[in-house]
Amino acid sequence: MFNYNIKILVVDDFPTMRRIVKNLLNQLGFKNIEEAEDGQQAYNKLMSDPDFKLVVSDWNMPNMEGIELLKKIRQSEEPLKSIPFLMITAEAEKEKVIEAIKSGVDNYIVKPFTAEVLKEKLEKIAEKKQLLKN
Amino acid sequence: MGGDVSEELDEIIKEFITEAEEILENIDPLFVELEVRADDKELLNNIFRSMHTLKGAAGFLGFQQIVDVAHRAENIMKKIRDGEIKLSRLLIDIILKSVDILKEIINCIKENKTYDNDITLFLNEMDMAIKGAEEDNVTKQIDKDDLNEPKKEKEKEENIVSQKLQPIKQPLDATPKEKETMTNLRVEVSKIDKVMDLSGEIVLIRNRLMNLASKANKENMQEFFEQFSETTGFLDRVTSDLQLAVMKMRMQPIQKVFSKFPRMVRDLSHSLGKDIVLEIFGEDTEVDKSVIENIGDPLVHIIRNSIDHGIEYPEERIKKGKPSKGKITINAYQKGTQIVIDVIDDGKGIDIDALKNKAVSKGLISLEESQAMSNEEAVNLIFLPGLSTKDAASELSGRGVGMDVVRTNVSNLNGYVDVITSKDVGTTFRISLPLTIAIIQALMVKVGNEVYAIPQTMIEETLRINFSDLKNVTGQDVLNIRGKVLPVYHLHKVLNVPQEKDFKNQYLYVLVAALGDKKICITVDSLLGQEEIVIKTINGVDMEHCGVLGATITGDGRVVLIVDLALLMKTLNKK
Repeated sequence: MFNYNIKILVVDDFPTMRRIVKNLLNQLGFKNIEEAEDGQQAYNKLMSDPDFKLVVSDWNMPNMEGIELLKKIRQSEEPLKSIPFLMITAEAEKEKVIEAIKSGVDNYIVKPFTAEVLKEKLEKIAEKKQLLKN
Repeated sequence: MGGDVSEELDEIIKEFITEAEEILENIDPLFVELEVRADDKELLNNIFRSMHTLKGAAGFLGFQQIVDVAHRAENIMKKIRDGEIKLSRLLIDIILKSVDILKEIINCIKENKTYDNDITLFLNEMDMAIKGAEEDNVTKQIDKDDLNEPKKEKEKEENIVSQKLQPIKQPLDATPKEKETMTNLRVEVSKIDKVMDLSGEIVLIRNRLMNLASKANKENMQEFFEQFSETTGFLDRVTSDLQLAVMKMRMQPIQKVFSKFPRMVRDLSHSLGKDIVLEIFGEDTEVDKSVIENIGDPLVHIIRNSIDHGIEYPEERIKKGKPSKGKITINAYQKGTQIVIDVIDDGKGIDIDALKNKAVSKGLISLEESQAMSNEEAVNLIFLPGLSTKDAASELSGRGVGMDVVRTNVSNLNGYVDVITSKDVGTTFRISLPLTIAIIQALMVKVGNEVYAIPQTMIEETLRINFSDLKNVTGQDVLNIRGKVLPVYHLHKVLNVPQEKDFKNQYLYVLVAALGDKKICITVDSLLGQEEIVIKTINGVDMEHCGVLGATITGDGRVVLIVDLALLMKTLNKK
């Protein structure tokens, strides 16, 4: 049901984590994946390349945290403004998740997760936003 | 697809190990800084984030022990950062211990072993420490259930997101097959690009040469040779550049080695009741990977020696009119084609007379020898095996390894150590290493019909003497050089090389070689010159004990053996 050719941006400061997430996305069939090391780098990439259709970002990062990246994206111009955003988090404490939802996150996923869980999350996002679909 | 997944997983685990090691190495110095600036939020956050990152990735890979330890450490750091608990010596010790345990676990993963030690005790210790710190901090209200039982917290997480947490299953049985494959090297992309560029150029040159060869015929010889020599000139330049570029790929900042010293100095000086500050300069200096791997031990010995024997106790320092805080400075820099690492302390200096007496009383040198020694020579006695200037073996030096390890390890890297010392001013240990150990400067010598290469680092000078200059003392040839009598060995005899029958040179060529404080003379038939050689190991030979460092191929295509002078001198001295 997904459009497997969409360009995805994976954001995490830890290279191993980027690789793990990329690997999981690969397992689901997504092929066009790029990486960024922190929120700032991700934001620059997103601003200069309108082809990105999904952001999968960690919360805790130096320079710019995932939540700030999310807020900046939601304050920007379309089409970036409404790009689907999946937040990876290890600390699903209530206030944090609420902050993310208030800031307009499309869904969130708790580390560690499997390819199946990732797929579920993406399906939920796809129901809301048509962007991921064929 | 299945094979791909597990291969990919192997790769990921390898990458995880490399990066986890880096993260943990970087934590130690942060803690030492933290003792000075306890309220630095950024510092606290850095440590917190490191633990957090480790936990996250380890969870995916199924390394539960790492998750358990890192989770608690992260928790402590978070509470300190958010002001919920106060930073204390106990908490610092606990976190440092958790760093050590994490390192051990990662080492086990690396070596494909399971970490057998029971960590539940330590986990309890961590939980108790958090609890204790919270109780101390009465002003704050904290939800204790959440802290003392991280499992509950985890369940909560699960409820909120209503999903099952299941780490990937394969990791533990899918760990890499061989230990060697685990040695990874992180290289900047720009360095690899450079090598790519140059190999591209070599391909172009090959094409040109092949083109030349196919077109060559008797009529155009003149033109052919012109083009041929032009192309070989080009090839010469490109290969030199390529060699340099590959060498640079192996170069890494020496910071990797230095990063463990702040904590070491802190721990050791505390345990001795000394007050020592460590300053590090030039940690960006790049050195060969083999240097990174082998220079750590010698430096540890030198620093230990400075802490233990060099720097005085605060009271003693004040009496001498010095600042009560001692200082050790480590400075790395590049000087020409050498890398220099200085370890400088502002302690009491080495007591040369005590050193001499010690060496004499232990029978390492004779009284006459000791009296004839200059101060510069005598200071090198510190590197003799079995010598310690303190009578009672202290906690630090009583480990069965002495400063002799320093000289051995450094000369294994084709480098040397200098000691500069001055009473009550301090001591400097200066390690000089060649930029790369794959290429060395060698002296090409001829013995009989054979050519040998001798590494130049140990050669102090070369002389040409008359046969009559040699004296024989009780069966041992000796030579008097500027008032010093040195033993002479003839390389053809040592290596069992037949000398040409009609060989009767008027002159003898002598190499004066030095290993530590020992000097010997080695005679050869002739000196052919100096050459930059590339060391190649010889397969199927016990390289450690055969007296040969390896082989090299000279410009004229000859295979030449490289003499292991250090080993040779050791065996000769024993005789």
